[in-house]
Order: sequence, then structure tokens, then C-alpha cells
Amino acid sequence: MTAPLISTHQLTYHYGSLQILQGLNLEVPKGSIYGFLGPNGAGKTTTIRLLLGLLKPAAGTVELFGQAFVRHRVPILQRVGAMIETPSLYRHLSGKDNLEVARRMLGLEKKRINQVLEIVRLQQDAHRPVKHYSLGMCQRLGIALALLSDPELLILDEPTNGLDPSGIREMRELLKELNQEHGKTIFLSSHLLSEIEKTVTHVGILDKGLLRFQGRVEQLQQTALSASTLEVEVDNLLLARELLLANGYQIISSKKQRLRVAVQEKEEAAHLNQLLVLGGVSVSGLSYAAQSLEEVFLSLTEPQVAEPVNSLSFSILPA
Amino acid sequence: MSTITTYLGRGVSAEALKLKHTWALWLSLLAPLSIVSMTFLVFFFKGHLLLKPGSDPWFFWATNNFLATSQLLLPLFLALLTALVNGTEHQSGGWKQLYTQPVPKWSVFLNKYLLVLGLVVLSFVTFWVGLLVGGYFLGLLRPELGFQKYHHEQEITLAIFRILVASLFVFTLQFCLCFRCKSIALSIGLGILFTMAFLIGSRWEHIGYYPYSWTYFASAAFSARTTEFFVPQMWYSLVGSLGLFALGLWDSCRRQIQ
Repeated sequence: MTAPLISTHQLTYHYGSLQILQGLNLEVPKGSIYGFLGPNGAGKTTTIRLLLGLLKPAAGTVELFGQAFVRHRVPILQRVGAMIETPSLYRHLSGKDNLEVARRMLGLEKKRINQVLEIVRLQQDAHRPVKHYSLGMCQRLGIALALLSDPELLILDEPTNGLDPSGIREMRELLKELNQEHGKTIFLSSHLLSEIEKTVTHVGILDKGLLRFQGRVEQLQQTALSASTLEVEVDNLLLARELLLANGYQIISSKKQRLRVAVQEKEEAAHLNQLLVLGGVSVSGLSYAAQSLEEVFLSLTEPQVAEPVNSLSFSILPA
Repeated sequence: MSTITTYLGRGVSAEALKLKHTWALWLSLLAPLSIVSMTFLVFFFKGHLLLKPGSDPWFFWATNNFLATSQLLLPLFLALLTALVNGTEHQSGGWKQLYTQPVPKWSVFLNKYLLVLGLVVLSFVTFWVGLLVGGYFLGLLRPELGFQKYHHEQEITLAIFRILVASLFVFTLQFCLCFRCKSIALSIGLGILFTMAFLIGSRWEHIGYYPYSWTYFASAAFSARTTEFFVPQMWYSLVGSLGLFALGLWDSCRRQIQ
């Protein structure tokens, strides 16, 4: 197993008395597209600023390419391209001049400008002033700036922010292309799982400065599959609870005449219904609900509002 | 050493490109020329009333240019120029981009400082050329004023050099303010306030220690026909600007970008 490209150990940051990050342990594998998710204010941008040395952590360490950032800042940044929040663009200059500013600073070859313009598909508009660019074009130019030094790692903060659906789709395609055809490892943040779930290979979910989940997307999907529930409407709540608990079911909630029971698959509904009916409980309603990835994300970040919406209802005739 | 010069060469070249389509470069050329032009018009139309017949017109001509420049226009010019150049970064959110480039943090401050210092020097050179050309032009167009009879290139060059050195502290102070402060209005406002404070308190016995008066004292050395190369205010400015520069450089290296 190769060492992670980004790893943080117990990364902590506070702004005055306000705790922003608490003991963050990130691990971003080489070759991955890592989606760093969390609601607004979760600490994503702060994490990115800490990764790039724009902020100094209160505690903990940041390692990129297996090297401590504080000791190897310049050689590490030579291998990183970044776009933090809105792209930093000089609006009075053309797109090409913006790239030329960065090229001169890094001492790169002139041909690199045309190469990155081609990657982000901005050749046609390269000579126009940036103040006449659309938001999507600005985002693409921001990515071109990040790509200019041909870095191994791209760190992008909310690259789809403010884009319309077609812009989001274009950005997804571009990120996949950069990862698959150009071999870039991409660390991108977003507050919407739906925007990036089709793009990323790995996910980290941050909420209130704490990492709630980290792993492959498949692992998150597994979590989603195992988060299915049955909602049962019965005449005798106490007896139904007793029967279900005695048979090893996990009851998530019970109120009025309704019980929510965790199940592995939809087919368990028939078995559960039979169990209750044979135990002398009348079942007047039964509905199955599977949590989507988005709901899993929400349940990790906002547990109090997580309610399954993707439900399939059917009535059971009493015995 | 070669690494340092490479970082500086690349950085200043990148900073220079950012001036394209901005007022900063034009300001450096037009500000000194505007003073010389206005004084030229006064001398062209009313020179015979200002100058005593047979007197050397160059001292009066140069002193008029120097006083207006050193008392009022130079501090305001420095406040505006430093605000324009640093304001570009504040407006575009460019600091986070600059501080994530694979270059030492000190180079971010130094590149920009050297570029703006270059613009200030360019402005002084323009002023010097304008002042001499203006004087000789008056000699050509209004020979009765007598400009063609005298030559004071050396004294005028020395006087402009004195004003340049005396202005370094104000320049560095205004630069550091604009580098740190997001509000352009605040840094320009402070520049105006400090200049006004000098004009109001110009009769105070200790005004010679006030940085915004130093350019005035440097220019006054020309009117007083001082033979000394350096006047005290030039030393204050040199030492003060070096200290302030070191402080600004140190601060830029530990700067956090929120």
C-alpha cells in the first residue's frame, strides 16, 4: 500500500475562542479523487488553507507527499496546484495574461499556457478580459492556473460553486479527465454530495470540525444500504416492541402507534409482518425506506433532520 | 544568491505584467509631468512678472516645482500609487494565490516592494527630465527670461536625489499599510491625514522629526543652496525605511491568509 499523498494528524485550528477543527486525521490516497464534504461552516476551507500553509494550525501536523509541510513548503508546493474558494484572477487582464503572470513567477515554458488552455477548453476566449468571463469560465481559468505547473496534486475548494447544471457537468467531466488521463490526484471540497458523488472515488465527511466518515465511496454506499428501515403501524405498541426485540430486531424509534425498525433488505418486511401477526399484533401499515447517499451524508452531518424520503409503501391486510 | 535573484527576477517580471491596463504606470509618468507642466504655463505666461530682470531663473523655476511636489503632491502620490498596486491583490483575492506559489514567502513582499520602488524612481526620473527640458524650453520660447544663460543640471539632480531619499520612509510606510490593509480608502485616507498634519503643524519646532515633513526639508536644502550632500532628514528617512522594510518583510513571512 502506498503512502497517502495528503495526511494530517490531529489537525486542530481555532479562531479566537471558536473551535473550527478538532483533531482532523485526513488520508488522501495517491490517484484518487477525494471529495471533502461538509455543510457550510464545517471547516472545509479552513482545512484547505491549513493544507496549503495559508494558516498555522493550533496543533497537529500536515504532511504532503510524505513530507512535513512546515519544513518543506517550497518543494511541496512545486507539486501542488490549488484553487481556494473563488479563483484569484486579475479582472483587468485577459485570461492568457493571468496565466502569463503565474508562468513568469514559476519560470515555466511559454507553451504550457496553451496546453492548459486546451485542457480547460478556453483557447477561444483566452484574449478576452477576465471581467467579461462567465462564472464557469472563471472557474475553468482558476483550474488552468492550478494546472500550470503540471502538479501531481490538485486541491480545489468548491470548484462547482455557483455553476449551473451544465457547468457542473462540464466540471465533473474535466475532473475525471484530469484524474484518468493526466494522472492527477484531486482533493476537492463541496457542500453537496449530489454534485460530486458521481466523480469521486473517496469521501471524507466533515461536520463542525470533526471528520464523521472517511473511506471509499463504495463504503459509504454500503453504509447507505445498511441504513434501510421499515415503518410499522400497529394496534399494540408495547407488545410489538417486545416481539421485535425478542427476535433480534433493532428499533430506531417508536411513537404513537408507529415503530421504525432497522432492516437489511426489503424482503424482511414479509417476515416481520408474519411475526407480529402470529404474535397477536394487528398491523395496519408497513412501509420500507432505503437511505440514499445524500441522506446518509445528511444523517452524518445533521442527524436531527435526517428522514428517509425514498420510501415504498404498501398495505398489509390484518390476519 | 543566484536562487534569490532568480526568485526576484521572475517575481518582479510577473508583478510588472499586472500593471498592464492599470493607472499605476500612467500615474508614475503623469503625476510629475503635471506639476512641471503647470509651473511651465505659469512661467510661460507670467514669467516676466515673477523673475527679476537679469536674475538666474533656474532657482526660482526649480524651487517652485520642488515645493509643490515635496509638501503636498509627493506624499499623496505615494499613498495613491502603493494603494493602486496592492489594491489589485486585495480586490482579486490574489494574496492566497501568491502565498500558495512555490516561492519563499519573503519574495511576495519583496517583489511588490521592488516594483513599486521602481515606479517611484521612474516618477523621479520623469520629474528630473521634465524639469530640465521644461527649463530649456522656456529658454527657447521666452529667451528674455534667461534660462539659456545658466546651467544647473548638477544642483537640480542632487536636489531631486535628496527628495527621493527623504521620501523613502513615507513610501515604505504607505506600502506596508496598503500591503496589510484591505481597505484602499483607509490607506489613502491615512496618507492624506498625515500630509495634512504636516501642513497644519509646519511651524512646530520639532516638525523636522515628522516623516511627512522630510521631503520638504530635503527640497528646502536646494533653496538654501546647502552644499552638503546629505541633510539630516535624509538619514532619518534611510534608517527609518530600512527598519520599517525589515519589519514589513518579517511580518509578510508570518502572515496568515484568512
